[in-house]
Amino acid sequence: MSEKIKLEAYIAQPPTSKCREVLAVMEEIVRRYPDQVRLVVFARGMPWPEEPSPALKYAFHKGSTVPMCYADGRFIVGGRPPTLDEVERAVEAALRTKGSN
Amino acid sequence: MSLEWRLLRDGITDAHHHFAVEEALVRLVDEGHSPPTLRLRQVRRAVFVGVYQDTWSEVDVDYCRQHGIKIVRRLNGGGAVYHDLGSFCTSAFFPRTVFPHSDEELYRLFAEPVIRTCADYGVAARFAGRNDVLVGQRKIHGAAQIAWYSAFVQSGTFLVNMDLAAMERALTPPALKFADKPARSIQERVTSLAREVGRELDVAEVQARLVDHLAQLLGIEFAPDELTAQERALADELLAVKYSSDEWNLGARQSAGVTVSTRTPGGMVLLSADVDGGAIRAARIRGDLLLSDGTALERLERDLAGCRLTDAPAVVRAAPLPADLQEALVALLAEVADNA
Repeated sequence: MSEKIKLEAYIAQPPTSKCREVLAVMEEIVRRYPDQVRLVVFARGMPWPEEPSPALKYAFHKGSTVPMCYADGRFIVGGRPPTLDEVERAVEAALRTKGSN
Repeated sequence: MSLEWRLLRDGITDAHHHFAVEEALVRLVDEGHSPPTLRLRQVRRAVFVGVYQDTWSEVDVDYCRQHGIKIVRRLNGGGAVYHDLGSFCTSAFFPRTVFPHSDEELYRLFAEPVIRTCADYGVAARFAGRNDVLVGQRKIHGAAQIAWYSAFVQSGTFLVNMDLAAMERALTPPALKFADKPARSIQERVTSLAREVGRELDVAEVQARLVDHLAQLLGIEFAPDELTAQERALADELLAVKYSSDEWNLGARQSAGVTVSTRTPGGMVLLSADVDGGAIRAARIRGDLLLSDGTALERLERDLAGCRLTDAPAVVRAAPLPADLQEALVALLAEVADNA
């Protein structure tokens, strides 16, 4: 089994109702892609549960946008909750990239 | 363009409560429950730490506790700053769609009223870098932004009668931060309007001038008003669960006993190590590093735990890190060994 695609969600702490929308979308993707995707949630200002992807880490230092969503280290959407379609497309693209490697 | 905004002077000077109100406002502007607002704010002696800063390495926590200086982690990024009633901050809360400008343009837009206010006192200030207003080479006003879903916050700190010596004492920035800058101390890098004018100034008068310039330049009519009941309730909740907690404001205290740092071409590196009997009990590596293998440092920290100091250089050189970072860490380990 190859390494799972990492989804990263950056949300407020405590979460707002829109943050919960972000998480609902991301969790639905994890359900749709069992064994292929995992989700890591970063809460603003709180210790990281694990090292963020370089792109997300760069975004932490550069800007100040809530929320931000990444798949496999690539930016999906920021400043609003993503749609299921947007995240799914990003995951499919990441899976294709992994498959071709 | 003529807009009507609330002008808020809530008078909340406790640093923790103060930031709970900031967060309540951005949340409620996003949800459409609060109007666009300019908040003029002041706090009693406090240090504001950036949202991702390590409080323990940026602030002299013990000194602040002994002298009644509160420490609060703010919502936006940037460096640690000292505040007292001699300075004031502004926060403009608005739906992002109100201004068509880019984020960079907003920094310039909101800096111009500051520059004009300085000019009112005969002080020539200029916009510099990404978000600063300088007098000569010294910073007199700093700014930060937060994009929070549909809402946006443009904040600024205006140093008026700031006690620069107190600021110097409360903050303990790593000396290396100034290594490539011409001015090394905080007092050499920042100034206040009072210092430039040569006399104490009335903060309320400076605020009034700034608000007039903001109104004129941004085409905004400001109507004084108070916090709503909903804003107060949310602020109280955020104060209880977040802003009054050490977990938020201080984060976890480093267990490591020695912290050393150096500069590499990739940025500053800090190594904290807890050494006992010639062996590393725990290690923590931080810095401004952007590595392609984001987990390499975590793995190295784990590998170093339990390792003898004499064996540690070989462990570092075996880690999948750039050669210059490896050598920097080996040098830092030697420094730790010297201090152990």
